[in-house]
Amino acid sequence: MLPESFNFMCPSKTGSGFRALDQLPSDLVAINASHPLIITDKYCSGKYTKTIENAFKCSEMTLGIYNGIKSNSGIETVSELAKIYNNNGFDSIIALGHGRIADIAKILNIVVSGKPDDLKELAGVDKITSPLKPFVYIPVLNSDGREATGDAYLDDEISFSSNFLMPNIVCIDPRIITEESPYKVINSAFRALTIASESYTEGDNPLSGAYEHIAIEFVMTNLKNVVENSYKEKKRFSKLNLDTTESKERICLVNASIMSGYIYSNKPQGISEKLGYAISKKCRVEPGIAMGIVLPYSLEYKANRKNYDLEKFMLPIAGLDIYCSTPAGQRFDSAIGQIRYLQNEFYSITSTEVPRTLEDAGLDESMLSEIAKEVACDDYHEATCFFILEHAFYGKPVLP
Amino acid sequence: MHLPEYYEFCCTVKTVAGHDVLESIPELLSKMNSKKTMIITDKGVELAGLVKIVTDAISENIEIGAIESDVPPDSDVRVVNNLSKIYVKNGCDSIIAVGGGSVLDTAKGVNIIVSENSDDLMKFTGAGALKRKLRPLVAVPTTSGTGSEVTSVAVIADPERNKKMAFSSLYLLPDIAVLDSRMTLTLPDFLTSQTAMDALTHAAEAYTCLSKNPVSDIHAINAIKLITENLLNVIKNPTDKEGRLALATAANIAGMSFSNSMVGMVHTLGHSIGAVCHVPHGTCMSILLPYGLEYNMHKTGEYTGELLYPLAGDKVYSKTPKSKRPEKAIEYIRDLNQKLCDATDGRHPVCLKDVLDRDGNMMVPEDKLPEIAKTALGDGSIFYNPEELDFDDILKVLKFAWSGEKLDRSLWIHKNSFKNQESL
Ligand SMILES: [Fe+2]
Repeated sequence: MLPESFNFMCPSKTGSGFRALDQLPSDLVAINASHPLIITDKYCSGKYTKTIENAFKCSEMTLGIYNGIKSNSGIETVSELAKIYNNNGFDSIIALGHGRIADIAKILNIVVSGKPDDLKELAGVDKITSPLKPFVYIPVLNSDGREATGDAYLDDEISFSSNFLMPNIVCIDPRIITEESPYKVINSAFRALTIASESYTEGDNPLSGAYEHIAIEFVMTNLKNVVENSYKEKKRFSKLNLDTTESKERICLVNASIMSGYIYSNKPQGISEKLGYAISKKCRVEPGIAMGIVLPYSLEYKANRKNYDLEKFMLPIAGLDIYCSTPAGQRFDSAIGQIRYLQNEFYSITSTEVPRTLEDAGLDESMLSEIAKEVACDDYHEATCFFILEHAFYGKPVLP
Repeated sequence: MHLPEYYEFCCTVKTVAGHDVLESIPELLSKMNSKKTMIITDKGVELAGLVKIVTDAISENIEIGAIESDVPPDSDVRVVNNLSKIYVKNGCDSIIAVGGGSVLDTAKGVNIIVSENSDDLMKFTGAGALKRKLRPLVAVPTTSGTGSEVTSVAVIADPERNKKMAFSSLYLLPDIAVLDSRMTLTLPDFLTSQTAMDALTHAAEAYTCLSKNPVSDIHAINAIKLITENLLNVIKNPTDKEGRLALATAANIAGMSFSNSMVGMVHTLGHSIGAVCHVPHGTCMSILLPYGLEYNMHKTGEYTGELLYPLAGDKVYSKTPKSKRPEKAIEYIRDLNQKLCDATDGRHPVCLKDVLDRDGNMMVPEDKLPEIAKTALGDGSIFYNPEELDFDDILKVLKFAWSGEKLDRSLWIHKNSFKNQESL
């Protein structure tokens, strides 16, 4: 049954697949942009800017490129970029890469769209009240989806959250979606899987249902192949592999991440997501991997204690045919089993680099209660959080 | 899941749905810096008491600068100009469109004029003519079918130049679509069934036609499921709030689905029957859908077969062998039409010869079929159909749809390459 009320919005246009970048010049013209500034880091500019320049060759646009983003770039970089942007008459921003690059690009957009001194006043949730300059995001394989959300972090004290920060256009091109370390790919994909799964099982919002379904199905059907291929590629020493099947599988993973960003912008955070972030602060494991470890246990908890009908979760996990041919009572367990199977596979494929349990991840068991306390909220009390963490620590299924 | 080599997906509309969501309009408008709004609607909607429900829900929290119900069934440039003047004169800064397709098209036209500060709509026809965001526009649909609250096009007639102006731009998408179950509670049964079958056709064509993509696919499946699970209940029990909301939501996601993937021959033929014989769009859709799916079956039978899941549920789907699923899916659509026909005392006709006007006259006489077929050849949607159609093909299909007989696919076996024939 439908919830009493529900809503959804995604202001971004997504273009995905073969020669997607070639569409970008005309898409920019359509939103009144003609002189974009590309913001990226040394790594991406070395690898990809040629491709982007080629895509723009037939247009009359001139591109600016700034490749000085570093993992610790902050307000000085934003100020430097604002000067470059204003002094050279740029009228739009393209972020190429992941994480920090998108944060800085979004914050630059706030600055160049208004008064730079406003920055502190506009920090927080929904403080920005009108559209900013045209903003394009070009993802790479380890984009985790946060880039496509309305969130931007400047530092521990100042962050921004507004739908106006979401990209106008997300352009997913296989020429940019190239090889990446398996660990990073799994981290991004598990983050997408977690956000989509928690949203999918939290009630029936038919407006976001398509994004949730696709993100889940794309991760489940493509992640293993992409990870395995990245090992094969290392052996072959191939730099760029644009073979159709392999590049399609990668494209699917990036689609999943981007869609998880759209979902994220419409929902409160789920419990696995919150626990994942908290865990990653206590041990050497990335948040997405930690979320993935917790996910099966928190979903089992949800299925058992909250009386939700989670049988439908198998549909995006396993696909239409397997879903329909599995007897109704077995569907949820079988779906969870498939996630666990994948995690156990990665543990062995990556020679234990990707943990299956919080114990594998090197978390000190004494930390569990601390994390539970930190994450506890109205829906999930401290004892519940601890219960889920404890099961995820030992890899012990939550029985009905 | 089918992943095309390249696909695009975009729907910038924020959709807000529920049983009492009209009340949230003032807050949503104020977030867009609007202080005084104009309601555009038509006489029918006003007489049904729907405008009053809207004004009661919002008037305490936002100033209403004008309520205009002067929209004709086909949006007209003179009305657009007139309403634009009222908008400016009364100092409005946003529009709430309450109604169906023509109300929304009119509102989109008004929004172009007042946002661009121009008095010549003609300048903004065609793709790419609009370059920036227009003023705030809220769409409140009062039927559950067209999905026009999430489409980026508008058609406005110019009677003096005897022309229809077509507008297409992402900037024409409303900022917000508000689906409130109160807006469709009083929709008569035959309109409920027609419009719902229009939505179901959007979904089925989006899923089976050439520009399908992952997002349009899942929206389509979910839309069909909502319709088959709720439509008959709502017809039998019109005040079923949950069912009404489900149908409104289905129309909305089916709209997102087809506006990002295009529709095919069911719409080609339907537009033409509408143009030549003035049969309501939804009636044409419900009658033609089984024929469109049958005609294309040798190319898209696999996709049609997958529609059996949302049409009939998981049990029927898994019990039916793969090769039988396409036909079974079509059987379910025919069966749904028949049930709707019975439940509405025949006001949901299942074949063209049974479509009657108010006086009981046949609206589609058999001798009109050639004219319809000729008109169809000029309709743009024909290019997105999986299989080609010439005049003879269309005429043959129309004859079957006229009599209500199943399509005899063997008539085409010599002409088309039935390469997937064996597997189906
Ligand atoms: Fe339609």
